[in-house]
Amino acid sequence: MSKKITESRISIPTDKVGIGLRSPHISRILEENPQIGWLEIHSENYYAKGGPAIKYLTEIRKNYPVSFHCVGNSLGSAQKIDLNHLKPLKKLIEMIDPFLVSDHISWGATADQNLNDLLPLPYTKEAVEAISNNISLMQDYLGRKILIENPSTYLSFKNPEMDEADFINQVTRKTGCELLLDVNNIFVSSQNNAEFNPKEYLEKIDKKSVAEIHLAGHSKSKIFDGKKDKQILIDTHNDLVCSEVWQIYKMAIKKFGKIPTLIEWDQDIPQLEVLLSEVEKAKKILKNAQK
Amino acid sequence: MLKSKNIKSELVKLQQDFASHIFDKDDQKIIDELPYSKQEALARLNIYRNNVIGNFEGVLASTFEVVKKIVGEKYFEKLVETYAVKHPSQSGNLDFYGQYFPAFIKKKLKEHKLLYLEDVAKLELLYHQSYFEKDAKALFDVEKFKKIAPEKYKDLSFKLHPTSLLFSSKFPVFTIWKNNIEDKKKKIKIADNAEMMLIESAGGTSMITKLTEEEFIFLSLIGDGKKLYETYQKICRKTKKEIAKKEIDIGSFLNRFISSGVFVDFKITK
Repeated sequence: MSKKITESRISIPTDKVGIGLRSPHISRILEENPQIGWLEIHSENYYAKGGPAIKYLTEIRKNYPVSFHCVGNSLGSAQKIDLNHLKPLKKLIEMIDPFLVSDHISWGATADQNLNDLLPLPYTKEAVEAISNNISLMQDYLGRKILIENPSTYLSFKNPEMDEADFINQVTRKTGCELLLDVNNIFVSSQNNAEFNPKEYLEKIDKKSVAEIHLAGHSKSKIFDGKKDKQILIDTHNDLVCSEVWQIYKMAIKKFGKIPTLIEWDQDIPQLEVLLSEVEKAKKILKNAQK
Repeated sequence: MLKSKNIKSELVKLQQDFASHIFDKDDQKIIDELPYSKQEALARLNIYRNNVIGNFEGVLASTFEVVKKIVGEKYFEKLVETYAVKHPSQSGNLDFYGQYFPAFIKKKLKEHKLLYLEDVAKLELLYHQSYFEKDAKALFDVEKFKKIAPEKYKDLSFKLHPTSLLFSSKFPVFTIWKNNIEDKKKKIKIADNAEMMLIESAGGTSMITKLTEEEFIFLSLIGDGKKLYETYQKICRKTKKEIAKKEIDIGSFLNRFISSGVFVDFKITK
């Protein structure tokens, strides 16, 4: 467990549904102040020393709770995370005071280079050690608890020492960090790897560890395995949340209770109304949840 | 920290093998770690490879929009693939990933044969970087400035907004950039057609404007901390033009750069 962990000064909107803040919607959000529970940013997009991005984020923060979702810390790398990369994050946290800060269960850097992607980890004891050490470093540096997101994967490795849910539980227990449960990722990975079913996965995850939920759309692709085509789901965040994912979300809310939920949409971004309609669907499910 | 070197090496090796697949196409080592046929393993790995290269291409394409338009999508993709190997990203933040791209383009001159392409890339890089610079507080006190006695003008010096960047090229790079941004198909005379530019980000919006030779020299000298009179003398010497003949209008320079926020402060020193 990391030391000197403090929480954000603002309360967590557990019964609210938010959206990812993306450029095409910024001017409308600034001008019309629509009813949205909270907003999530990709923090690396705001590491500038100044300029328009910082300006509008500061304005938006006056009206909405904001959470930070990082993509570039490479928590699952075998080597230590780059503390220089955390400097602008810490500065941004001091400026904006997000109610949550999260990153991913993935790696993206070797000692020589950064691949700037969310690459899959083998589910081994060694990988638990590596990611736990890096999460603790990040939590100590920031002086606050972070969340880690379960991945979308397109492959699995030989000889796993545990399944994904066990891996997550070990990491959250070891570090005191919490889980950002991405329901679309559970569905995508379960379809691509056929190694778990989402219901059993949710049953295994520690009840107290889940602190945020993501919902998103995905796209379908095909790969050739040498004999026939296989369907692969790609976590593109470019479509409506599919019915299977809504079902898994209902199961998740039933188990974990009122958890702040986010609609993510990163490509082919539609009108704000489309996201707000997804927000309404999630709100209906969240409303029926126990506290 | 990881407890054992041997244990550590397994994860290090797997991650290095994965990276080798993405950049060097050395596939066999990582395929051995996967429970699939070779064909299926490669297909699955290529999803990640396409994502990684696609991310780099997206970042470079948004920074070097005009370079991409000039060379075309296919050649740009080829450039990105080579650039990714020659200049591996060293940060989780890709804001400055394109910093070596102009020099890289210069090295590829034999392939693309476009003498001006490096300067177009340099201009686009400056434009991109200006977006991330620290804002300056608007300190310029116009009322105080208006009250300065004319005899003190010669001792005036100005502070430029930190995002105001100057760029000159022996090629008509501004015209090339503007034509491509506006999708115009005008013919441009490349030889003996130097152009000078100012990249401004004052007020939260970045823009590139073309400068005359006099304006360029004026801003360069003021940016170097030279006083107004010394600046005036040097412009006259360099351009062989005179204020008396109304060939240079310092007053209009001041109006323009004060009102646009390029000058953020002034001082009078003996």
